[in-house]
Amino acid sequence: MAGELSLATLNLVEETIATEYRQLAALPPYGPEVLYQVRDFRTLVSLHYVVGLAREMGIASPQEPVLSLPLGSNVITLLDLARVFATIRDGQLDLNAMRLDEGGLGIIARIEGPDGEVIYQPRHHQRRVLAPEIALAVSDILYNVMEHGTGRSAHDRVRLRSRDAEQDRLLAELDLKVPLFGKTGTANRFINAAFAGFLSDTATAEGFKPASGYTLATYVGFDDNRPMVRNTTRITGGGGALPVWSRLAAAIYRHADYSSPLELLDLAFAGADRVEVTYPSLGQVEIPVEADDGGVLSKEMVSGADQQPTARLVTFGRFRPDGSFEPSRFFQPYWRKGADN
Amino acid sequence: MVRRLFALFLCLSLGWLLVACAPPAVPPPGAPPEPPVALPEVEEMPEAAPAQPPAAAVPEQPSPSLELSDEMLAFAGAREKPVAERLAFHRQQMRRWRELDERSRSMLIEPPPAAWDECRRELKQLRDHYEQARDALRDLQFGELERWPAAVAALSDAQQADLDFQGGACPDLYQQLRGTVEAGLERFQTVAAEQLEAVVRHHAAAGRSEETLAALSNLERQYPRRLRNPDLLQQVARDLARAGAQAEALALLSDFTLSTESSVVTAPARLRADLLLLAGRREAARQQYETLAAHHAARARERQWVAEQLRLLQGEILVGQVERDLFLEIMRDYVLYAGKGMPPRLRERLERLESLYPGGMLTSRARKMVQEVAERAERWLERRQQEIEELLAGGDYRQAIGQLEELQAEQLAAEQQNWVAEQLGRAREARRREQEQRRQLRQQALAMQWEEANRLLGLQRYEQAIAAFSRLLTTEYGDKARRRIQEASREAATEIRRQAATLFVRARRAGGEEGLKLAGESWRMLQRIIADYPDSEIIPRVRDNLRSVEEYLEGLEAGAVERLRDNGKRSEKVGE
Repeated sequence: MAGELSLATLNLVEETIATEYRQLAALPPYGPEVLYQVRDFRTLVSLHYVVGLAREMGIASPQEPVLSLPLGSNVITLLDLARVFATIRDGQLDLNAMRLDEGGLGIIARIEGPDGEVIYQPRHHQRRVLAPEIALAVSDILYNVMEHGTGRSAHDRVRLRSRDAEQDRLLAELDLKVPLFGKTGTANRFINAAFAGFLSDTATAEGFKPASGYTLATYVGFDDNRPMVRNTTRITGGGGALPVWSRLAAAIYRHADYSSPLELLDLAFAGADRVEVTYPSLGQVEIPVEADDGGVLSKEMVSGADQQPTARLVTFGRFRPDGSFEPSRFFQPYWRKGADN
Repeated sequence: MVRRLFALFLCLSLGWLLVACAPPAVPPPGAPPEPPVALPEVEEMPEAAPAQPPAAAVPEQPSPSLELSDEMLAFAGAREKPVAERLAFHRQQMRRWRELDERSRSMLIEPPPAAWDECRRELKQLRDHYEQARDALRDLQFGELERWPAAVAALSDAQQADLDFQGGACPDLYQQLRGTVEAGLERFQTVAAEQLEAVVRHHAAAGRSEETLAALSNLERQYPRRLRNPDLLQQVARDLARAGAQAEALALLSDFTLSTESSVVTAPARLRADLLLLAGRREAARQQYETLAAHHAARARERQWVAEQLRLLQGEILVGQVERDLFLEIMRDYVLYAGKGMPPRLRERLERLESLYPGGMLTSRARKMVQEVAERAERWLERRQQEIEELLAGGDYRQAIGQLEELQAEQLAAEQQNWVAEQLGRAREARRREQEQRRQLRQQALAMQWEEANRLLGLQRYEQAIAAFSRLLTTEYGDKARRRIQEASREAATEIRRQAATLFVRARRAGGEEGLKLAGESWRMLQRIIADYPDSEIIPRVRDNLRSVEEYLEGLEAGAVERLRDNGKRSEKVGE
C-alpha cells in the first residue's frame, strides 16, 4: 500500500474538506470558531501572548511578535533581563512606579535629611505575574542549570563566607557551597554573551530560601558587535559572562550577612558540604532525574533500583502505580494572576 | 634605646586599640596621684604564694598611643613612691608577724593554726601584689608602655588586697596573740627570776662569794629589777660580809640608791652605812648616814600624816560626827583614787566640809588631799590628751575615739568636757571620712577588677576572665559577675566546640590515619566541654555532635571510640 491511495479515500477527503468549508463559510468570517482553525492566527496569538508576558515580567524594550522571537531576534536591555529573573524568583514584578515605563532603578532604599527625616523613599509596587507553583518550578530549573548545566562552573568560585573573621575562618574550613539560580545566554556568532540569575535570600536556621535574594545579570560583548572568537576560542554565556556573575555572587555571599543564622557548627559535625535550598511548601514533589539525559525520569527510579540519582527535579504531579510520573497540567494567563494580585 | 624605639613603634601602630581596651575605671594618667597608702596602718601581716601572680594573669596588651605615653610616665612616677612606702610598711609587718610567731612558738604558745597561717599568707600575698605593682610602674617609667594594663591590674589587686587585709580579722588576731605572748612572757620571767634569786641566796648562805657574785651578775643581766629587792640585797650583803667579802657586799649595796619620792625601804642603805663603819671607812659611813638622814627628813610628810591619823584615832582631835564622816569620805576617795579623773563628788564633799567647818583641822587636811588628787588627775588628763592627739595625728581614729569615750565617762571640768566633746566630734568626722575614702578606694579597686575581667572576656581569655569574675562574686558586683561567668562559660564552650568542628571537618577531608587522629582530638574536645561546662546550654547539641564524631570514628576503625575512652581514663588516673 505504500505510495498509493484508493480513489474512494481521495473522494472521502475531498468530501470532508467541502463539508468543513461549508460549515465555516456559514459562520462569521472573523469569529473565533473560524480564526482558531487558522494556524497562523494561533501562532500570532501565541507570539502576542509571549510579548505581553515579557512586558508583564519586566521587559520594557519594545518586542515584536515575530516568529524568530524565541531565537532572540528582539533586543532587550540588561535591566530588562534582570527584571525578568527577579520576577521568576517569586513570581512577582517589583517596580518603583505604577507602570513599567514610569519606574526607575530600585537601587535607592531611601534618602534621609541631616536630621534623619526621610526625604525620599520609593514606593514599591508588586504585582503577581506567575503562579507561585510556576515560579518555584522555573526557579528549580534554574537551580539545576547551576548544578548540572552550563552554570555549574560557578560553584568553583562561590562559597559561603563572612565578614566576621572568626566566622570566616570556620567557613573557610567548611568550604560550603551555596544554592545558585541562573541561565546562560549566547547569541549567534558569539556576538554577545550573558548570564542572569539570582541568589538565595539570607539564611534561616533551616537553610536558604530563594524568595527575595539578589538578582544579577551580566553581559559580555564588543561595542561593535564583533564576534568574540579567536582561533578556537569561543566566548559563550558560560565562558564569558558567568565568571563575572560568579565573582559578583561570591562577593555578595561574603559581604552580606548570609551565614549568621545558620548553625555552622552543626553543619560541620553533620559533614555537610553545602547549604541546601528550602522551597516553600506548595505541594511540589521531588523526583530523581537523569542529569546527563535532559532531565528525564531516572531509570533507577522507575526500576526501583536502590541507587542514588544523579539529579533531582522539583515539579508538580503524581506517581502512577507503575512508578511512572504524571505531571500536573495547569495554566493561568498572566492577566488572571495579575488580577488576583 | 632600641627598646624605647620599639615601644614607640608599638604605640604608633596600636595606639588606637588602647581607647577600646583600656579599663575606663583606671584613674587617668594625668590625674593627681591618689596614694594607695591612704589606708590605716594596722599591725603586721602574712605570707603565701598567690594562686596566680597578677603579672602572669595580665595579658599582653597593645601599647598605648604616643599621645598618652607622657601621661602614663607621669602616672607611673606619681604612684611609685606611695607604692614603695606601702611595700616597706608591709615588709615591716611581715617581720613583726614572723618575730611574734617565733616568740609564741618558743614559749610553746600555739597560735590559732588556720587563721594565723592564713593571715601570714595573706600578708605575703599583699607584699607580692605591691612588689608587682612597683615593678610594673618601674617598667612603665623605663618606657615599656605596653605594661600599662599590667600596671593598672597590679595596682588594683594591691589596693584591693590591702583593703581586704586591713578590714579583715587579721589585725585583731595579731593583737590577741601579742597580748597572749606578753602575758606568758611575764609569767615565765617571774618564775625564772625567782629561781635565779634562789640560786643567789643558796650560794650566799653557803658563803661562796664568787658563785654568789656570778649568780648575782646573771640575775642582774637578765632581770635587773629583781636586784631592787631590799630583802635580797640585805641578805646577800650580810652573807657576803660574813664570808669576808665586805668589798663585794658594799659594792652590791652601793647600787641601791634612795629615793625621797618612793616608799622604798631604807634598810639596805642603813646596812651599807653600818658595814662601812664596821669596815673602818668612817668618812664613807658618815656620808651614807647623812644621805639617810636627808632621806628621812624628806619623809617627814609621811610621818606627819601618820601622826595626824593617830591623833585622830586617839581622840586628840575633837571632831563631830558629820565632820568625821565627811572627812572619811574624802579620805576614801583620796586613798582609793585610781589615778584617772577626779572621783565623783569629791570636790562637792570638800566644799561642804569647808562651808561647815571652814577652820577645822580636818578641813585643812581634806583640802590638801583633794588638791593632790586634782593635781594628779590633771597630770593624768594631760597625758591622755597628749596620747589622744598623737593617735589623731597618726590617723588611728578608732583607738582615739575609744579613749575619748572613756574620758567622757570621767568626772571632768566643763572645759575639759568641752575639749573631749570637740575632739570626739573631730575624731568621728575624721573616721567617717576615712571610712568613706576606704569605701571609695574599694569601689575603685572593684571597678578596676570588673573592667579588667571584662577586658579579658573581650580578649576571649575565658579561663582568666572566669577567675577574675569569680573574685567579684562576694562583692556588689556579684550578680553581674555571675552572669558574666555564665556568658564566659558559654563562649568558652562555644569556642572549644568551634575548634572541635574545625578539626572534624579536617578529619573528614583527610580521612585515613590522619582523619582518625583529628577526629579523635575533636572527640576529646567535645568531651572536655561536657566535663568543664556541664551547665552550659549547648550541652545537648554537643552530645549530638559527639554522636556524629563517634559514628565517623567507628566508620574509620571499629573500636576507636572505646580506645579513646580508655585513654581518657588512664590520663585521669595519671592526673590523680
